[in-house]
Amino acid sequence: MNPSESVPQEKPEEGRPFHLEGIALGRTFRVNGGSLQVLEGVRFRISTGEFVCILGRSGCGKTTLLKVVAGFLSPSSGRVLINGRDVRGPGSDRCVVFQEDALFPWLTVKENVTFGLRYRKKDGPRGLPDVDRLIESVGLARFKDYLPREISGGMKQRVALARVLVLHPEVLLMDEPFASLDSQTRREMQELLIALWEQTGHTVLFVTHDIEEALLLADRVLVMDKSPGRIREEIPVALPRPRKPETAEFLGLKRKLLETIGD
Amino acid sequence: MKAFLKFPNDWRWMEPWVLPGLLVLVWAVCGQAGLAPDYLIPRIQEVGKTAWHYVAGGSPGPFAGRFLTDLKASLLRVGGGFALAVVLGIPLGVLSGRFAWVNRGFSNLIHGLRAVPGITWLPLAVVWFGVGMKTTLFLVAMAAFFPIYMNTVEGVRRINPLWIDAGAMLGVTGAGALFRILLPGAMPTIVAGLRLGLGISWAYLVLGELTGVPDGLGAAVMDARMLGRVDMIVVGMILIAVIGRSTDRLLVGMLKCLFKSAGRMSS
Repeated sequence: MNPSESVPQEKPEEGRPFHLEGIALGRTFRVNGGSLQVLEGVRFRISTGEFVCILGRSGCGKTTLLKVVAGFLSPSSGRVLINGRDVRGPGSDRCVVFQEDALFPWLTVKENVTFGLRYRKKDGPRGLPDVDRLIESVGLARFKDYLPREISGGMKQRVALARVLVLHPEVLLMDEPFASLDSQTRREMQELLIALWEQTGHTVLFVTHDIEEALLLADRVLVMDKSPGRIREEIPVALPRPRKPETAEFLGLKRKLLETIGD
Repeated sequence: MKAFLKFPNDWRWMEPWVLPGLLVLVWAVCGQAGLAPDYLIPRIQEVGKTAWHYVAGGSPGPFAGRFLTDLKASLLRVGGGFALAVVLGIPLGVLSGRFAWVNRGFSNLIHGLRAVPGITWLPLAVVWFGVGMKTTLFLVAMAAFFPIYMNTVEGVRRINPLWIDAGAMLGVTGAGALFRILLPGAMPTIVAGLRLGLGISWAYLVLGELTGVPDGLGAAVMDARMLGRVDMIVVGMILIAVIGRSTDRLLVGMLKCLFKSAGRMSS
């Protein structure tokens, strides 16, 4: 039996189609002549506007999964669908906020944010977005002429967020974007992200190894197994936002996730 | 701890002049004290006079007033040879840096040729191209090519792969990625290669002008050698140093003007 078949699947609400779908995704790498199966039978369905976290330990293949969804890697088997169409290669409909600093160091904050605009395929009558307002909304108005090396790690991730939001991607893919930040900055960024998400209604696929982060952010948490990576369990998080990590429900879910991930 | 010989901000422009100044001072003192005979180290006053006549003319002699003609000829040869090296070195370097198979394909040829001293090309080059412009261009281009090529390869190879991914996701691929991501990303290393290449161009210029061309700074030095004019040899050396440094500054300034990345990525 295909292991992904046993995973309980969510039902989309009426009239809401699945926005992003992974069907039996597999990915193998050639390593020293052998082959390493990093993903196997990964299956997920995400509705429009949903915030989904993929939770797993380091090395479980969650970054690989995100790269496959982004189109940086092609799957060895299975398909990625966006609005029912196959994904082929990277595109500005699925934008990634990377874990590390992936800004262009030779461009200022504002130039980094507007980078994608100049090359965007003219595929819709979206007016010119208000770049300055966007930069302000991520709290960087004072820093728009700074170079990446002149700003802090938290600010860099704000820029990384702004440079993809400016393109109005359909899906936002985030690869442990706050992992290297100190805990206070991380909390600020999580709040900023939720605030922006509530305004814009993007579909978000957010990869993390941090249980608390997953519970603070997600509508639904997909727990990933290691070697080969697959989705083991799926846990809906029906807590109202803004969420408080001290509440009993939160702690209960946290304990449950700890058990799941610790097995 | 206070850094040795560190000037306050307003005087920082003087820092690069301390060592040359000291050198001139030691030279002048040595000459004045008669520590070395003139045929080993000509006195600074003699060299100054010769330099003046070389540049401004005014006195009879084989070198009087030749400077501008020599400078023009040499700049043309260095500029031409260096430009050839850039035109070949950067595109080839980008290809080798981006595609491992291109790099492997060129590796033996380029790293083998790199080991061959330029002077061994001289007889062949003279036979192929004759005496003068073409031979010098060939030698200069040959010498400048290697540092430019190798630094471009290194620069492109060490580009953060996330920049390429990020570019692709933001809609920049192919030629766009070359000009918007690969070249700016590799720019600090490319600048280093260009500066090395330009420096070595001046070295090979003299080699090229060894062959009996009538004009050029290298030719002037060689004529001085024939005539036993040590003072003129020193004048030639100093002028090449000054002009070499000036063209280096000019190159860096131009690159910073033309490419944001050249200015912003060097702190």
